[in-house]
Amino acid sequence: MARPPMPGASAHSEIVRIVITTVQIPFVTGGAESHAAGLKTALIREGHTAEIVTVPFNPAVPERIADQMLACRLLDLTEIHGTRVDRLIGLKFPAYLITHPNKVVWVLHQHRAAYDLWDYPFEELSASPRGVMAREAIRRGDQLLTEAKAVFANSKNIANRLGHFCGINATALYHPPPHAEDFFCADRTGDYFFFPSRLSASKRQSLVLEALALTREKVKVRFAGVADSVEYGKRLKQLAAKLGVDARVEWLGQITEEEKRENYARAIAVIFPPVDEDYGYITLEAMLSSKAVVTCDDSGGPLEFVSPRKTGLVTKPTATALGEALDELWQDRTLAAKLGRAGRESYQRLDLSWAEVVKKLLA
Amino acid sequence: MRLNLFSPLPPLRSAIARLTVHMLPHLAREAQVVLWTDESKWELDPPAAVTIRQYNAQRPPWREINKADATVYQMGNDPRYHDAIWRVSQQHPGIVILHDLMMQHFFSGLVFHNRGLNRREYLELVERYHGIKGRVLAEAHLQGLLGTEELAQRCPLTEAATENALAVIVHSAAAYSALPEDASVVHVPLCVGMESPTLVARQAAEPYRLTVFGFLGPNRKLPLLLRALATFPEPGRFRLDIFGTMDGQEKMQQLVCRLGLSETVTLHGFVTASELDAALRQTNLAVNLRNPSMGEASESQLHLWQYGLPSLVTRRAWYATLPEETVAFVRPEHEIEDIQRHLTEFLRDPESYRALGRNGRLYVAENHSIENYAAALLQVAAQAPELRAKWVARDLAQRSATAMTAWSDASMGDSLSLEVARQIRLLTAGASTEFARTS
Repeated sequence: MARPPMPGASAHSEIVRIVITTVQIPFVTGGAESHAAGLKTALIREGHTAEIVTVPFNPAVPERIADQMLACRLLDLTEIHGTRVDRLIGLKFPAYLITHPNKVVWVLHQHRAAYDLWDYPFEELSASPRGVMAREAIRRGDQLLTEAKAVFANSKNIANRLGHFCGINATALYHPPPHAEDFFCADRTGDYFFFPSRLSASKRQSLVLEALALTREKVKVRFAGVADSVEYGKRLKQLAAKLGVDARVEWLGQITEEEKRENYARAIAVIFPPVDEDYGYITLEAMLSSKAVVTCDDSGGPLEFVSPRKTGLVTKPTATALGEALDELWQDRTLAAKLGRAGRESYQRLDLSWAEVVKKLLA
Repeated sequence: MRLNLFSPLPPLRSAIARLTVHMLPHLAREAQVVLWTDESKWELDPPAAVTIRQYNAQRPPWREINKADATVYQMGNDPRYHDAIWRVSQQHPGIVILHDLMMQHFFSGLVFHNRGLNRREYLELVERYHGIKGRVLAEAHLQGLLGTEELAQRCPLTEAATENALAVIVHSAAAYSALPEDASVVHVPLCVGMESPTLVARQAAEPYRLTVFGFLGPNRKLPLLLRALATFPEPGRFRLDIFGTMDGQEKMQQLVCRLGLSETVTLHGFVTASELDAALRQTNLAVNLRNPSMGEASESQLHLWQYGLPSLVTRRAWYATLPEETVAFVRPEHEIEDIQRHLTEFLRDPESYRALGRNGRLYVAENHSIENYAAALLQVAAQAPELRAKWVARDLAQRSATAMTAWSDASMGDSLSLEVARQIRLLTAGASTEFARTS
């Protein structure tokens, strides 16, 4: 029997038990985990019973990726302890391949090494002897996304990739970042740009270091986030030293949510120049903090939200162009503040809400 | 299409290298070819669409290799020319062109020539494919108690050479049948690594010239041929020229002398292509015996046909399938008797033998053309994505079965294995209608 909705919750009385399937790459935490948690909270808030089912996933061994896909296909979540699971919402590869007669998928991203990041220098799949085999296995497996009753994507960028690479039509479905209501803008800003993200080749902290080496101003940057690997973290620090910018760089490492919001609040602007980002909470968090966003024209997700010279600056992905943008905002704090305020207004107009997300996923 | 081709290249003394060079222009018309070699030098002038890249088999440049749509490996049984190719093929599944079924020579050669396979690994390999009995025979071989050819007949190790192949191209119906049914095997008639020469009429005057050429292993039956000549009533009406390398050439020379054939027989050793060409143009009858056969189509037989030469061949394996009007057969274990019978017949009616040569030349042109060979190879390469999906499906099924054997019993095995198989099929086919989208 269906559990009644919680007081004040919208009624989706026919669907009460929902499983969210995602993956966990051990020792790696990021936006995907927040996303799943946010969805679970939103579902519960709307009166449903929701649970996150996390499948371990290790992409480091290409020969075993197909095994992990098969393992997901063999999981049966249609019924738990004799009670039907009414809906399954798949989020990430390969957990979104788990079958269910009433499945929808909300694709955070596919296994990008098999698609747009194939042959990128920092991706190992194309450097593996069985890389082609793994890539094709992933692509064929992803065709099973069409089993779902509906395919949503985390952003227009993801939807475009699904269409381009897989011929699958997906609807972009935006959601607010975690704790959206807690972001703020301080009255007085500090003397730094803020770049909160995993230290990862795909986020291009190295490009920012190279840009710093070319700025006319003594631009300073605070990086927050843990490195994908200890080795990569070391390499970045060595690069900063080699470029002679280490004195203008702070490596905050892992920080709390409060510290993150504080750093956003006091920054001149936020730098976020990743390679074709899927969605990117950072853009939205910067907008919520009334901060201009400096990004690149190949950065993907951020471009869905940043209006050039209205809410941020969009440059070519070169150290020179990025350096010039940083110089401009460093010199012209009034412009930086103006773009930031416009960003906050732009965010408000997006009208992002979890309630709307839940409505669409359960339709 | 972008195609990787791993092959021995000239100046290596390899018929496979010649075949590759001959095939390149035909492949290059339809594909961008990257020709991979682990040698530091090569002698060929590739067509414009062909790039030559050197690799180190210990650290192959996978990123570049992975750029191709398909990878093709030329696999023969000479460990000197094929060990690096085999190593790459084990890691990066591709299309293996198998030039020999008896790959025992290759694997034991890796041990004897110290080319990266130790005794333990070799014995384990033989045991994997031929059981403990095979291992015992291989051990005897390593101790010098059993010859390679005898061991190869009982433990050919064919599948060891094609273990990770997406597909295997073979050159004979016999080879096609010899490989397991679940392997993707394609039969493509072999072609010869050179254009067909323009011929002028041969001198028909005596003494008639007999020729043997190629790699002269024990299965070429040279001692029997020499004995047949020595005991032939009119040996002076022939001259025999033997071209090619062999183990124990000195002993063979001693046998020639002992049999009183010094005036009749000449051992030339290895000769250049132009020297061989000149010799074949003067030849009246070729002798191309193989007993036992290495199991595959013979490049040298095609070569002889291109010169319009009649040839004596053993009625065994691929040779046994040849049309009667293109060769003269010698029965296995009756070599001396049959060779002498053919020599007698040849002296009586040389024209009937010349007709065999002419027929052979027509036959090779019709059935073994380089154009057809290259087209067939490209056709297989175009199927590489489907072959890879099949490979993944087979691999998943095998490993799932191994895992399930450890814990499933008959009561659950049926339903579970059915579901595993169903999901593997869905994953590797890439489409399902089971839960069709309704919105």
